[in-house]
Amino acid sequence: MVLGGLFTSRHQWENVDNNQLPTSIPEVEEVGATSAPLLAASYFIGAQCKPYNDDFMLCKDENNGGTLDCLKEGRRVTRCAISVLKDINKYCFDEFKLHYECLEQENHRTGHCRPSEGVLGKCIFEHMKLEKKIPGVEKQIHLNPSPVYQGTSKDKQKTAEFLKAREVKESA
Amino acid sequence: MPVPFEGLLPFAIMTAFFGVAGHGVQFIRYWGNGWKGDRFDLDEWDEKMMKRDFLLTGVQRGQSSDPIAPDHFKTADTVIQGYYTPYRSQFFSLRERLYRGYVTGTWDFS
Amino acid sequence: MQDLPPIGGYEPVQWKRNLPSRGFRASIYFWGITGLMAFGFYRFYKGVDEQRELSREKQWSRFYLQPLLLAEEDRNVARRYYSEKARQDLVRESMSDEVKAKFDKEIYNDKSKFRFPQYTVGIDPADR
Repeated sequence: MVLGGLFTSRHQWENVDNNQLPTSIPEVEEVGATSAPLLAASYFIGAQCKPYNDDFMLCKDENNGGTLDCLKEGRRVTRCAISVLKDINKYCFDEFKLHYECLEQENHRTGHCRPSEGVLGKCIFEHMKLEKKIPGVEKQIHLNPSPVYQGTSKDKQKTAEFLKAREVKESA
Repeated sequence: MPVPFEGLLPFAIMTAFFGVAGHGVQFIRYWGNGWKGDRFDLDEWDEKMMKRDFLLTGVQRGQSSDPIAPDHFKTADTVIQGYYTPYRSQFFSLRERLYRGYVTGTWDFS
Repeated sequence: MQDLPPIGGYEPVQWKRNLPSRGFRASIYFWGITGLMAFGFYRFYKGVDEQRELSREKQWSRFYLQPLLLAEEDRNVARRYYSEKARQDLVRESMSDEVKAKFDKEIYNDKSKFRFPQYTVGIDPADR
């Protein structure tokens, strides 16, 4: 940083703060999933944690942003999301991985990862009774059998391989 | 009207070298992304999420599905701060500081 | 003396070219192109519908993630706020009474809601 600082101006600096929250505020674990797994799990988190999410957002709305007032509700939201992610990892780890790796390859476009999304959705419905449902419309885009924009991803092939490998594993 | 193959050789060479250049760059980008396709058409949300991903995994384009974040993540956030100055690129550049050190004898290598 | 047409009249003049007509009937082209364009427009508007639904899907996935990301960020902001407050208390201990009184003066008269302090580099407005 010293040498780097020589070549740049000194009108910008990094604001780092390493202090923890005060002990008067209960601790909570943060969500550790990154963007692609979160995107893959978003509808299931939304379905499972709806009351907590709504409560939190209403609290923020009522309290002028509520950064300090809604910490309790925020902890509930985080705990709920963590519980959903834990369940997904417990029951559907491989399907989850298959889907979010596809998303990561495909610039996070869900439309290009439909086959693996179907497999993940099926697994999650079997084990957790959660379903992806886009609100506000009858036609669910992720269930469209013949979409116009399919992309050129290898997801179909990879999902087929995944299902085949699992079949072999189960029959053996 | 047959064209002698010698006439097509330059085109073959051009095609080959443009191909090498293009596919080479593509390959390097793919490799640099950790064997993943490029991200593009990013909005503010995506940028923020990519920053968060970096804080969580410590790698660009790293992904993890752990439900619980590592401990350091709670204090990992940094903010780039700055203030406006009309001299922002004039008086504190290396060249300027060396010049002033040379003229006034007060060298400042900080 | 005048030339007269031959007996039985002239041969008929061939004014029309006698070429075989190329291609199909015109109506086939017309309806073919119309049909192709109709199909194209149908696909296009299906694609438009699909794009709309795809963006709807993306938006809802973000709506569902927003509370948990906001909660995370709020905790981070609160952490920085309390840490700054602790630092200020530490500094406050070593202040003279005069400075302390100035330091303790409320910034806002309106106490109806909480406001985060906003810091700006510059001269104190009172000293200007």
